[in-house]
Amino acid sequence: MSPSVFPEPEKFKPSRWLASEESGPIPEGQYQVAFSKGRRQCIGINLAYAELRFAIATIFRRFELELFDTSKADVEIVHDYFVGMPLMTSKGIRVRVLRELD
Amino acid sequence: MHISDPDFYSEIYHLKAHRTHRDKFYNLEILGPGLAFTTNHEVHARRRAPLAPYFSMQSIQVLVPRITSLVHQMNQHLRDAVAAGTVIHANHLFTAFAMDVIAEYSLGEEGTTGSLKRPNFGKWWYDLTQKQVQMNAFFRHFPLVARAMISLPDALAVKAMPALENFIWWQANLRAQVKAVLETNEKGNVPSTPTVIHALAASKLPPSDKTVVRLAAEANLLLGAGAETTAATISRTTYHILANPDVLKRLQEELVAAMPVAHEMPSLSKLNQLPYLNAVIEEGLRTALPVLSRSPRVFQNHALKYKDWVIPPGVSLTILQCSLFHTIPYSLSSLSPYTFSLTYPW
Repeated sequence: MSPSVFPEPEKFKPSRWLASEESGPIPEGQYQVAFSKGRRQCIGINLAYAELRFAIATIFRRFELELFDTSKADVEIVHDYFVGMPLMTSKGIRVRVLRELD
Repeated sequence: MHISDPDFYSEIYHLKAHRTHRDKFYNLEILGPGLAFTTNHEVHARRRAPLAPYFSMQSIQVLVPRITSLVHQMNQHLRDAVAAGTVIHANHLFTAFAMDVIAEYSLGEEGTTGSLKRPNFGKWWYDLTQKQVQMNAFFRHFPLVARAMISLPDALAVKAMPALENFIWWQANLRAQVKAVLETNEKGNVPSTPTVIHALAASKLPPSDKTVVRLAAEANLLLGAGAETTAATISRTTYHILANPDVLKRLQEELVAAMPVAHEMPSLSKLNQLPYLNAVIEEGLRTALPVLSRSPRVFQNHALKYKDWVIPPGVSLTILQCSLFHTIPYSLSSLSPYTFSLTYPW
């Protein structure tokens, strides 16, 4: 447990990674371990970042979305099935697309 | 041995100078001898060498037009949903996107799963994965059963464990595709665009690493890891953005400023430079825990020092990501671990 690295770890706080924030940025090179590190680091790390950037940037630039019948339980990881999984009764994350943005 | 100290992570995982095997127990043998499940240090290095250039920054830059054409397809579905008023299943849509990217890159045009063109997008793969991953824990504890399953003819294996049906179908499908790749390669035909499994077939890997079984396992890991983890991260990040209006607002302000024309496709280098977008993605990766498993390293000749302790070579060492991320206590509380139960999900 390391609240010293990620204060309020349960919160989704992108600003913790920003250099401009008062608390100072988290050194992502050290503490971003989703891909592991070293010789066995995920080989697809560059591809994954590219897909994440294109997907998130275009979707949130172009559309107004809202969650549909989706709650925290649909993202909270409770299973170690090698991959992290939320409750298997989760119906998944669903959204309504309200409108296209100019 | 788990060391609950984030500052020791670099000692175990960053060090490149030492020989480290992967811990056997945490391997998923049923998934075959792909790169990620190659325990031996040297064999791993040998198998990784011809694969790595295909995932370098430069190679991904070359891949961008193929990625963005799938981004277009994906966004078209969202546009259609505005008019139709339909609910979009984010996991299915993002699974289709990530699967189509990696399947086409790994196996070429013939390998593409066309998931974004299917009525339910990536539902077929999402459902298959949901079933298959639940068996990971079982096969980890009973590797002999896994080995037996692999050696059985497909029809018999399905009979023995019906939950494996789709998994076995998928493996057979990959073997057939890899066979076709090997035949193309033998004829000296080169694909028109870079394709990972073709490249491995044409590489200097020893023949034992280029069998149908080995390359099908590699394809399985590339597609499995490329689709499930990426899709889960995009989906869960989408949830968090929408559940946190202040995050959404700040993200959209940055995106509008950087991309004044909504429907124009940005360049990757432009996206790389957007601080808040990238902070959202880092936070998404932190909280999504796409790969949760312990991933122990076994140092072969090097003794590590932790405080006053000396950890001799041969000890299986790990730092569990979620204790470093500190997003969840590792108790899996919703599973009632202290309740004796013989009910399994399959």
